[in-house]
Amino acid sequence: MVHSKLKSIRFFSLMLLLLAMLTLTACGSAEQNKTYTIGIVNYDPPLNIVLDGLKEGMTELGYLEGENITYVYQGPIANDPAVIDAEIQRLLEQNVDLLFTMGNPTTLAAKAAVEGTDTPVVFCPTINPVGAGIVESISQPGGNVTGVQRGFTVDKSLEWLLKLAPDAKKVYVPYNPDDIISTIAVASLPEATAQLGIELIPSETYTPEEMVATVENLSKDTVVFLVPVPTLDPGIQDMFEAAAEHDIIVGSFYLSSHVETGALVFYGSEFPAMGKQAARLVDQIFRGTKPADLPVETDESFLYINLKRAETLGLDIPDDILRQADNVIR
Amino acid sequence: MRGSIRNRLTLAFIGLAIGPLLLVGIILGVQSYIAQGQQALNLQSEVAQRVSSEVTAFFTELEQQLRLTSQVQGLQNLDQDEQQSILSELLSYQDVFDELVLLDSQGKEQTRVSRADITVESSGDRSEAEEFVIPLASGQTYYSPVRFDQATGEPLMTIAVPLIDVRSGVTDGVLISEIRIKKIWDLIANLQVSPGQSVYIVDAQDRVIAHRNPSVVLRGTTFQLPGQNGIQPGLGGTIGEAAANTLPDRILVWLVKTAIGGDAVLAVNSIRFGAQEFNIVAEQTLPEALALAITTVRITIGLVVAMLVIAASLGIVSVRQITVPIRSMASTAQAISDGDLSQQVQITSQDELGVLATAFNSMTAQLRGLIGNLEQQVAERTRDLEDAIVEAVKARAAAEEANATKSRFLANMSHELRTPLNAILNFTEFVSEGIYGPVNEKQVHALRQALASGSHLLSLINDVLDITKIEAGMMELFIEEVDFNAVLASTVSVGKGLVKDKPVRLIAEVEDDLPKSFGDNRRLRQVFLNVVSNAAKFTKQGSITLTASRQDGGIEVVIKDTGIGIAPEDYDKVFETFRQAKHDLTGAFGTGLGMPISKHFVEMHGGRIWFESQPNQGTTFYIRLPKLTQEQMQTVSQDVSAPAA
Repeated sequence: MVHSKLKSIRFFSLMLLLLAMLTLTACGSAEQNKTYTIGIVNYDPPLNIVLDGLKEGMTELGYLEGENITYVYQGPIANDPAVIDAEIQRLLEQNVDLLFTMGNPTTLAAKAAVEGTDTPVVFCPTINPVGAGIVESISQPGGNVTGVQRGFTVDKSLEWLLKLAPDAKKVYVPYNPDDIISTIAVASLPEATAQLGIELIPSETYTPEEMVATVENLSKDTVVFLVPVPTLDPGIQDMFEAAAEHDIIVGSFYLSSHVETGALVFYGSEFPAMGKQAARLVDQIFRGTKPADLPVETDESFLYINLKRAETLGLDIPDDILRQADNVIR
Repeated sequence: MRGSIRNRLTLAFIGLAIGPLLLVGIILGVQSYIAQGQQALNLQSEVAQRVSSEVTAFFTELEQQLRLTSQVQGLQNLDQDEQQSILSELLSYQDVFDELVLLDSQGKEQTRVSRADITVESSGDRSEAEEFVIPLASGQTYYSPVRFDQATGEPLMTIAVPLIDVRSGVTDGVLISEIRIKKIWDLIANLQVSPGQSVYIVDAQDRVIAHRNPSVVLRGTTFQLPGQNGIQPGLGGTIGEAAANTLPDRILVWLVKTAIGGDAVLAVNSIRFGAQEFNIVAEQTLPEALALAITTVRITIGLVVAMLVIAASLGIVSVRQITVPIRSMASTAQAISDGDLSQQVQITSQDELGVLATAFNSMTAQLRGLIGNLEQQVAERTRDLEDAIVEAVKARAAAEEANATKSRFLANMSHELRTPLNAILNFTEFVSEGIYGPVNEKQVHALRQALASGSHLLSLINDVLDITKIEAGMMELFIEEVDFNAVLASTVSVGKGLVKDKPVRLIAEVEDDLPKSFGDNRRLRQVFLNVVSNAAKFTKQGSITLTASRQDGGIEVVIKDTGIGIAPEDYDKVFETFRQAKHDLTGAFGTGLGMPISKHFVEMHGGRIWFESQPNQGTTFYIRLPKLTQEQMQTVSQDVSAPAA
């Protein structure tokens, strides 16, 4: 009797266990219960707007800040390899699930730091990541790094500037050889200026003051073309004022906001849109895809024209060109 | 045996409860699977067709824009600036275009505008290129195969439309456009798709050129189209998008993959632009496509498990109600068979088992009553028997006591009688022989009569003494060497005296040198003499023959007479104490002790005595005695003389 009682107890326990398992499997759908942490590394203050796009994209994909995703970001840091490395180490020690890097120097530093680990790196933006040694190829990045690159439209951007300033004979492109991103950005310009029939004047510029002084002394047939040079960022506004004062036309490949603060034309990336584009890659990595299998994506370029600035400069911009602009500041 | 009825009943119960449910579940599951599969396939076909229509419309619209641009304005006849302006506007208006190139009738580039490249004075010659030759020759729109841009990895395609002169109808140029297929991605990404559904475009080289997820295209994914629509290996499985999440889903995917080889319900629709074929694939992962079937299976499993639990509980309870009384009865029966009649079956129900238990109990009670009676009777009988035995023992003790008293009395009496009788005989003989003075003939005769009677009386007393000693177990033999020739000679001598006054002859035929043995000479002589004197006593005339011979190492003595014989009904009495057949002829009576005493003495010597007789013909006594050593004789005599228990 005791034996059979024990047996039936065992039997009932087994049944209960089965029921519990069934209930568990029935309820065990793909709930996003895990929380993620993204560590953000940026050395270029204007790129902060990338983050807005990233967060918007992540929110759309179901990652709500404060609920299941945390962004660890202490703001832009100095463009100093030691500082960048230290920040990356700090983030890695916090066991972030992913490093989100803005710009080539931070991405290169992150790539080196996560070498041999599982931590993925998503960059946004970089310029020419294959040429810069960040990824092996666009379609098969390899390693732990992937992201969104800027379109190869520096030359086109310059062309747009020259379309709006057909009388220009020379172009000043300030860049800092110590600032690696600017060197990459201007790499194709000598060839482009030759094709476009315009003179590229010596442009190595190490300080914002130097840039402003150069612009103040430019001749009227010279235009200024801005590429990403973070070290010169602090002097941009002074440079715009100087240009305005001397009726110097400024075009930009750097930031679309330049059109609002002093540039006539901008052709290039919209960083919030890029950030949003990168969000999809982050999501795929969180869902288990390896960065090595996620091809590098390229963003779209957009044309911005400041018509007021054109009027100030006494420029007559043809309607067909205005019609081609994605954004006209009137 | 343990639990076998219970197990069988429980299993049957569970089987009955679950079997039909399982059957229904399987049928429903299979039907639901088939129906849902078909439904999902229809859905995918619809989606593929819809997307095909949209993609077709997309390309048609591009083509129309290109034709419109070329025809409305007479593009080839405008100057280069105007051409550039028009093409630039088209480029910015329609961001699908990456580049627009206008070729003249010779295939030379007239104007070229690009989204990414700077516009340079170009005089490229494309007169050999397909995008020029084909539209020029056919007047039809040309579609190139898809190619992938090196810098961005994005798919591009060329569409070229012929520029036809309105007046002459002659093709005098070609407008070439580079199409960014990337823009179709958005079209697909914006589709409202069901869960687990995916739509993508595969070109003739099996390359995926459009997908909701740009990464799939950018990494150069290829997809081998299945031969037909239905459950097929989908793209989702190869790019890791179709991982089933829950266990039932995974089981289903595994089952279907194993059985059919697919993990998605997939439909393909082909569309053609010029020489290019594109396949629009719509697929849905199995767990999503067959969600209803999975739910059915899940519910079935849930029900089966629930029924299993219910059936098992009910089964165990009902089976217990049946088996517990049976087991109780079985153990009671076992106890009863082991002899414990006090056991009772507990009656827990009024059903058949209750009736059975009641009957069983009443049967046990009856059995108990019967066995109780029987035991009482046996006890009474046993008590009676014990009483009887006690009585008998008492009686036997009394009898033995009486017998011993009798023997003691007889022994004493014999002794007491012999002493005066010997004195009487001796003095009577002295008187008859004239020792105390002269006696006359008459006196002598009377004295002789007295002497004879006295002697007879003495022998009677001796016999009584002997038999008394024998019965008391006190007879002792005087063992010495026995010379049978001497003993028999003495017997014959006395025997002759017994028959000297009768017409009877005593014939002795004794072998010389009979073997010597050990024994009591006096007692053996008494035996032979007793038989001879009996013969003499019961033989009126004729003869008495005594024959002695060797026999088996010992001797055999045969005494044969021609006397009155013994009636068969008296045979048994010959060797009994105090029995003697009454004989009319002699009218003589003995003590009746001679023969029993003789038999006893023969047996004390390890021998045997018996007779053969026929009335009026005579009697023959046989006495056989073995040759014994002194030790053997002592052992045999002691064994025989021991008093009977």
